Amino acid sequence: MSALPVLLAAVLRVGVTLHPYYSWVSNVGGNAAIAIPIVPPGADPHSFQPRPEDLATVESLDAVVENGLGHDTFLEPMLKAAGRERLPRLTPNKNVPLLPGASGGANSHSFLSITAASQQIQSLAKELGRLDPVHADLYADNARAYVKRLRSLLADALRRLEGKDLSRVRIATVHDGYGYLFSELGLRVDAVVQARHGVEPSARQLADTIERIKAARVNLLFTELGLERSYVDTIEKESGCRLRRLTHIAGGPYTPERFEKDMKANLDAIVDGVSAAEAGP
Amino acid sequence: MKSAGRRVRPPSASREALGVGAAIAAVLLLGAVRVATLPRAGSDGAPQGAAPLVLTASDQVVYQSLLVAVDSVMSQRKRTGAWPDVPALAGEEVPPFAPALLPAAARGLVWTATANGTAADYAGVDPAGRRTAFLLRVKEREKGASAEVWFRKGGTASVAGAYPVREGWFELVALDGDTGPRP
Repeated sequence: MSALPVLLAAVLRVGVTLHPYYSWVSNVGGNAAIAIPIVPPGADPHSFQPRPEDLATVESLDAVVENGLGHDTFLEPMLKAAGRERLPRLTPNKNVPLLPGASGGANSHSFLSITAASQQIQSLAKELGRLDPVHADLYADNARAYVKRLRSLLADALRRLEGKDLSRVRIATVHDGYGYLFSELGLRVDAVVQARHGVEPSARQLADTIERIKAARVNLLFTELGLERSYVDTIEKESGCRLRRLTHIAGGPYTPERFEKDMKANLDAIVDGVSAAEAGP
Repeated sequence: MKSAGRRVRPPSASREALGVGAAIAAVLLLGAVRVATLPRAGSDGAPQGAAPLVLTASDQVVYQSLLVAVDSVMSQRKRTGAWPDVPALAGEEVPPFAPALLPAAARGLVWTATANGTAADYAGVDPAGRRTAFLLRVKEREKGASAEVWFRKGGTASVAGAYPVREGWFELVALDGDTGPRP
């Protein structure tokens, strides 16, 4: 649905389906647009079941930011149930070059990248400006300043990776959501040892995972924050590879700073892990 | 990976307007003037004959950086009234014009800017002619701007002219993973 200008009583209320979108709208919207989470803090977007009060939230929106690539499949049924099928959709993924997903279709984690996020933030600012032309310049300026800050995070990580012998580093991740991030750092993911996150492995799957890590001669494995500790410890002990943890920025509190903070943590974890793996055993 | 069938898994997926390029080239033999009126990859989202393409990870980074850079180009254009040159964009730390903002493998292209009224070309070529060459073409519109990213796989040391397709360049259009064009 195209984003047509809307009549605004005061501040634009923009629904968001994912934590990164909350941060983006908050930073771009300033005082003219506020981000409204559709998924309550602490709920998992992968298994979200809307409650009546969540439908009431949707009813109050002027627009909604959607991933549209499989990360927020709960949205359309919610809009239908709330009688808001015609709610303007902001689709920052439009025109973003996407990686293929592990199970077909597109990799929906395009928000886990500074460059792809920057493109989406710019797109978001334009779409907000179309909805609310009075504040179009504000959105554009805010997006520009935000992208500049994000870019400095990437620049810092690239600087710290400078001169590393990456041929000594073989990387695996526990799911394919981080492909965008590794790509912009010039790093190759040699193996994805678990295609779906949030899935508790059986003992057999765990043994299989360890075998795959060994077979791929991986010496650096990126797991996820929140993954079962015993699972991670077993992999580390049995495979002998270094472990670092990443976050795909889901669950927990919604804050304007969350995306920057978590992406910095991800970049730091990657640089630290690569440095350690490159240095040898 | 080379793509005889052009249906390969990327590090990144984009669309190469291969068939469209061929069609335009054929029409060019009859009259270049029609180029401006031909539907081209990116103008309607679903050009016939376009083929999926594998971009290397490095090319993917350059491609996406160019898409993001358009905002900085237009911002400077609006602020100064002139199209920014490459040093001006590099000075604002805008990749790919600022190489430090790219992974090492994606560096090495030499960027030049050519402005012509309401349009500007930003071309990145490898002087040795080996690396994939890129062209960002930005056109000022009544409201905002439009942008095209062209590339020439296999490299060239020459900057593209007015009709890149005639010189073996292809326009890149973002593709929805391996599922085909998005509406």
